[in-house]
Amino acid sequence: MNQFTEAAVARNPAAVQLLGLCPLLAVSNTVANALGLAVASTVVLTGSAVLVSAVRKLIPEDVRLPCFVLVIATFTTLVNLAMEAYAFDLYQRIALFVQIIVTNCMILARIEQVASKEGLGRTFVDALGTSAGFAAAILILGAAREALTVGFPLAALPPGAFLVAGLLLAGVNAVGARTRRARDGATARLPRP
Amino acid sequence: MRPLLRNVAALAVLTLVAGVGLAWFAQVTEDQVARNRLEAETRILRELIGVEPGAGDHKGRPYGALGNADLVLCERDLVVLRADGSGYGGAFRLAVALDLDGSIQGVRVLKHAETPGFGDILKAPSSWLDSFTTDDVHAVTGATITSEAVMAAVKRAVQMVRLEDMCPP
Repeated sequence: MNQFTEAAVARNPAAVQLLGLCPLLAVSNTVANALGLAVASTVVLTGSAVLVSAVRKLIPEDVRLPCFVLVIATFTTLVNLAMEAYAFDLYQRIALFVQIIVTNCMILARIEQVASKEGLGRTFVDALGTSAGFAAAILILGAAREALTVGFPLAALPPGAFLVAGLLLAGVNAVGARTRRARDGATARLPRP
Repeated sequence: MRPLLRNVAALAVLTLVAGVGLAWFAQVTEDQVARNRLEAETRILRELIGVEPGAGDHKGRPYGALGNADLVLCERDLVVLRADGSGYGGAFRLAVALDLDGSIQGVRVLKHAETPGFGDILKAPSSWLDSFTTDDVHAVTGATITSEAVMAAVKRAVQMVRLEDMCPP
């Protein structure tokens, strides 16, 4: 499995690692909002990861976390300003959730684990893969909630986010467990590390 | 001592670069953001009082944004007041349309910072905002601070305005 699909599918930030769930639940009420947040998260994650990777040898070990957070906060603010200027309708609907991308642990995790250690190429692919995985999760959830609203109005409201997301995660886990069983065959009973 | 200096230097340089970058980009987007806000406010006012773009009030002021002054449309028997207040999430600004007898024709929220979800009663179309045109306005369960602050701001604006001076015969 190549690095992109590993980041997007096998280590999917939302479905497998359960990271970034706050925006995932809050902004998935329509596909348009979900797409807006997916694009914003992609820009912040990719931009911050590539920048950190480029200057990783200049960042002292002791203060690396403040440096990473500063870079993420800067990119988040840039995206927020760009959205306010060039996509004002979307900004009015999801601005709050764009602003809290800065606290998304999915982004800090990729920077700490990959961008601060690896070169530009690997960092870029990993960031794009993780973003694609997050975008897929939020778009599927958004589409499911918008479709279900017709017969099930609760789907568009906050409790609907928990219900639909829970069912989707259960489905993903069931598929994942089956894939592992099929792959591992007789060794499946061994405890996993 | 040297690691400390290195840490301070790294943080200082990074902060400086980030600050300069953000200041530059804020300046680039400033005008467009102001245009967007004015446009959004104009759209809300148009919906509230049904005036076409380009129209002005009786002093010839374009009606667009309320700015710091109220909007007076004598020939249409209408005054739009700006009302500021502070809710759960911070400052908000309202536009309150009155006829010259002082009865409320409509209330719209021009900007607010209330919690998403709880602030939904402020988003037109809202039966709660429409209830201001009757005498029967109540606080909303679950958004008590927000709704009471809006009611207080509307009340203050309506009590302070001197309608008899607005359109002298």
